Amino acid sequence: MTRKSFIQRVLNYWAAISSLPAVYVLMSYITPPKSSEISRLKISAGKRTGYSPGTIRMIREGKTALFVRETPSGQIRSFSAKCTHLGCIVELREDEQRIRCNCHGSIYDLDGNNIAGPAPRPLPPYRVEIRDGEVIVSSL
Amino acid sequence: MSDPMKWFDGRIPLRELSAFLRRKIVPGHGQMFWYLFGGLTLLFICIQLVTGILLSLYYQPTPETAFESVARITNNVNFGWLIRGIHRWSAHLVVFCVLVHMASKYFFVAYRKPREATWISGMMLLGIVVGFAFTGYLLPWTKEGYFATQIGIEIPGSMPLVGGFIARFLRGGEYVDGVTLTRVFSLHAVILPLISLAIILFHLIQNQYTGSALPKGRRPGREIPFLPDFLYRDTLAWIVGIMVLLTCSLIFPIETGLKADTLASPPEGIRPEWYFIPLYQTIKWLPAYILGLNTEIFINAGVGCLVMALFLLPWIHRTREEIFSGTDRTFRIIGIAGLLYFIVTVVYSWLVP
Amino acid sequence: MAGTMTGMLLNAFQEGGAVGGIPDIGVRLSIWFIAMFMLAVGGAMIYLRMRELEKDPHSYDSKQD
Repeated sequence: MTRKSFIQRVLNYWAAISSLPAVYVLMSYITPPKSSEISRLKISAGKRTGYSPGTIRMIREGKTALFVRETPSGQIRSFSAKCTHLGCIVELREDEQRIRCNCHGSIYDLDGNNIAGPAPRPLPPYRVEIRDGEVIVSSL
Repeated sequence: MSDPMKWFDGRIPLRELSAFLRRKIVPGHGQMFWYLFGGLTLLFICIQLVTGILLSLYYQPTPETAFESVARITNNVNFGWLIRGIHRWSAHLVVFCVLVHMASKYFFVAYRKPREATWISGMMLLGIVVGFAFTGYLLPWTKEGYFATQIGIEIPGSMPLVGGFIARFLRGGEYVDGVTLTRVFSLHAVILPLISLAIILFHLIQNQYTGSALPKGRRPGREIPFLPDFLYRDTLAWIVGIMVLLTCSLIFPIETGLKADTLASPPEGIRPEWYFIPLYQTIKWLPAYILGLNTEIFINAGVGCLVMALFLLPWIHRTREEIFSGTDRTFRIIGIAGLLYFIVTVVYSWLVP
Repeated sequence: MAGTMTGMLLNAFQEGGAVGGIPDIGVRLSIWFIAMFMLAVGGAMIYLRMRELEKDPHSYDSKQD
């Protein structure tokens, strides 16, 4: 190996090695930092007495949209309003007694079960607690 | 050419470009060192482009969120403090290198035929670089940036006839507020980059076409091929430049600062950045009225004449040369005087707050 | 989540860079030393290559090793 090609080779290795920290800094920078928001959901959905059998209400708070429903049998349930297909917020159609997603036409019943359209799963449920007469919805 | 390069033959003119750059020569003499500053300016401009794009991934240009988004970059984003520091320090280095580059061309009398167009485009680039620095200063919405912008717009704003229009155009209205920030961000991130890219391209092509000028009075001598010899020297200069940049960015990181308060009075001892100090110090030294007229008029006239004279320098020099002898020496003395005034005002302002 | 490609990449790059503001002078000086060393090595190599070329201008084109 000649002197000239040795220097050239070292230069090539040096270029490759020194570009690594630069790439690392660049990739770290463009990766968004972890959000400082609390990822656990916990919201109040109003008074228990505000609900009656067969009613359903949509609640939007912060970055969350969800449904709170009292079933005909008197149980309070809650589930997400984000369509399980591609994440659009769904629409409550009280006149038709169902929930519809305008993005691609998925249809759910008032308990969140997917009954038609491309939605693969029911709307994911949340945990419901009644505390001091208040309905508290939190993530499972 | 190595085997992978053979693919480009007949497809992309790499071989022809390489041959051209091999033919291009740079004058090799004792003052060859000054030829490196053009390349250094280009290096720092490229660094500004890259770090500026990175900052724009997180920056939000409204008065309510600008400061907070920059604080987020500094404190939350991975290596955000480093990218921001590099962008800020590289801005200082661009201005410094552009001024040294321009001064070297002035003292070499490089603006003579056939390089007038290169000089004119260079002067335009100087204005654009200063424009970048001025617009960039407002973006973090800090106290210093806000007041520097407010005061800075007043100066061209006091020009007769066009001043009012210029001030309203820059501010986007009567006051420096959210509308100003939007406009300044557009200037800094879209308008000026596009304009500067076009002019830089022209400036570089001109330099390839005419070659680098010998200092006036020097006989042609040793010549160095641009590729690969001068490019090696360019690369070494860039490495030194990056060393300086990283040293400043790492040892003197840029702090978050204080958010602008639009109704507060400017803090005591407020000063513009170093490249505006000669103008600032001159204004401070002059009395309010000269010959019964507002000094602002003289300042504007003076700066206007200076800028015009610099733009028209190739023709002023040539015309004067035809009439008087010793023009070179006269211009050299004027140049040295100007340089000294610049340095004296900056040092004075730094020592006497 | 760490099992997916996205998860792996995010994990690798998310916590990088000492989140929490401008690092201490100690950390910055360490980065500075490493950066200066890397740049100095590169500069020295380029300088040596330049000298080789000046001694033997025809070595630029020839294919060796």
